[in-house]
Amino acid sequence: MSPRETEGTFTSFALSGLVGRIFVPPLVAFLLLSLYVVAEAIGYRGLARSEAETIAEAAALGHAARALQLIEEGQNPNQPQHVRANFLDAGNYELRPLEAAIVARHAELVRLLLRVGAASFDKTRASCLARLRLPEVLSDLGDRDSDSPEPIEIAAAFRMCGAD
Amino acid sequence: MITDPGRRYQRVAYGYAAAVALLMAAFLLAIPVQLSDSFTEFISVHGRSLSQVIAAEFYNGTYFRPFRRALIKSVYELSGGHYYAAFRGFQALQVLVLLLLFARMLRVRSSAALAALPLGIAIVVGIHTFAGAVVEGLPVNHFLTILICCVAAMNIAQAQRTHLTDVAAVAVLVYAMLTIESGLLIWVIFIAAYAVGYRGISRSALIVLTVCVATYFLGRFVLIGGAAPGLNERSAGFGFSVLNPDDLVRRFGGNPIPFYAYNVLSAMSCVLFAEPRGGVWMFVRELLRGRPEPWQFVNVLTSVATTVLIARYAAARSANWRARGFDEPDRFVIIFLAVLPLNALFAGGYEKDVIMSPAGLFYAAAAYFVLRERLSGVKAVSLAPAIALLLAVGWSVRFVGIHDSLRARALSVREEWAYYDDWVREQPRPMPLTPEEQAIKQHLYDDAVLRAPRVPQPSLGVTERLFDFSQ
Repeated sequence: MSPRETEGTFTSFALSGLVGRIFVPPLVAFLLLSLYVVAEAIGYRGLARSEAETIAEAAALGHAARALQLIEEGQNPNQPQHVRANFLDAGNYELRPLEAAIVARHAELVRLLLRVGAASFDKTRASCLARLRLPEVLSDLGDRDSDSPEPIEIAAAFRMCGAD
Repeated sequence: MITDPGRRYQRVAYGYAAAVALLMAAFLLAIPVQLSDSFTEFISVHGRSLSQVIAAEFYNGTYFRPFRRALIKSVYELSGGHYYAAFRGFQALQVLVLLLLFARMLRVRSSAALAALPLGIAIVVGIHTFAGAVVEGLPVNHFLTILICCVAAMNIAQAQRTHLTDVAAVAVLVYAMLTIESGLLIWVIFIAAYAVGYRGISRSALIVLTVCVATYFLGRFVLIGGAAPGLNERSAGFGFSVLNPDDLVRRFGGNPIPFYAYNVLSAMSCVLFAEPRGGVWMFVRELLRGRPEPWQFVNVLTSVATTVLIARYAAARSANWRARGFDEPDRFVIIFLAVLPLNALFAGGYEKDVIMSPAGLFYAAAAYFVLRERLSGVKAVSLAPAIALLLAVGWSVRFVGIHDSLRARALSVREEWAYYDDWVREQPRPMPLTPEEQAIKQHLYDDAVLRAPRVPQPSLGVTERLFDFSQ
């Protein structure tokens, strides 16, 4: 302890409010974080981003690990699945995982899904979506490459390529 | 029953430090063992004895870190195949040890000392130089190991001198300097601590420590024939961008001294002002483009304000220092001023924030003591209430931000493993695995992708822009 340090002066400074300004913010930050961890541990998800419940939702978010986990749990990567609002845009969709990855422009995930068995898909529709949203994966879908125009809006891409 | 009030304050300080470490552990334990810089380490230590692992690192060209993989090997063998629990648990334990030793070195013996503690710990944990010590697994983070050695050295220097403290000082130095180059800073800490009046170790021990350092250089550069890393080793930040090795050789191949000087100055500035980061003047660049991020303002403003506070304290006390009158805050400020430039020398080859983590640790200690002096009523420096609030809120945001980064890391490590095949293809050399290595890989892959706990990513709206996402 500094020889210049005394409890009496501390009290007077505490009254001046300096202690509160220095002491309270980091303590509040610590307590809020602790509260968050405890709340999360007992299942509270009020401050959490929506988590993918289907492979298609995971593909829309670009979450490859979650997509693989859901495949391992038994979901079929070739079936159309529900994608809730705000995963792609404001709309709800029924999409195959591969289509969701194309529309959300996750090229690496498109290739990963193809490698792990998402090989049964409507090639015409997938190519159409890729041409409008992600031309760089056209060759992976067995189509010829095309020029890369600016990606159009998701809803417009579905209108042009047809929805399930 | 504790009757000594000083001890009571110290116990509360330990309790708070442990609570902060436990909080961070909750975030660390959500991160699987990472693929990059970890899986290959497992392969390197698997099937070899501890002595073979150490011996192989003695002759590793530009790097001399024989004990670095020894610790990895030890945890690997102790894990019994539970890699995720062992390595992440070990990292959480390291954070706990670090913060407990940090709290001990602060000698919290009064209410003012205790009142400043949460902010002191928020600075230690929230400073950008610390991020690389926890966000990266490696799988045992040697920068975190060195930070523990730094606070251990300070605790030894502050202790009552015995033969044991002398032996412990030599052991800590030898272990640290053979783990990673910046471990040599332990010698700087002991010398500086002695110079400002700490007598935990004897003059004879200081001589032995100095002989150890001389032996290190003799052994490394003369006997073994090692060399310092060249410009072609890796990319490095310079000015407003990152230059690749070819660019570095083209620009500085003829005379690398200006580049090294730039890195040393940048490293010091990085600790003092949170800018540049990794040698790149990111905040200035974004300011010139008219689109700085809120987190950049938080980082730079809090660091600048804290540095100004420490500098004003140093200026106010310099007359006493010349008369060799040091009390506890003086000592820590002086030790920080000694560690900062010498730590920066280790960033000469390329500036990386985490290299400066020892200086960042002593920066936090110096700031803590200056604030504590102020709370004790000592008017070496004035502190406007608004500035005090700015400091405390700013560092608190950075304290929360590092936890946000850890949560994001949990997701990015899982993603890294999901693309294992792509990662293998991108390696400079083919990576054929033996059946045993394949089993290790599958175990880590399953831990990260298939069995990983479902950790929600927080969604905090615009508040997230206050957190440094670059760390």
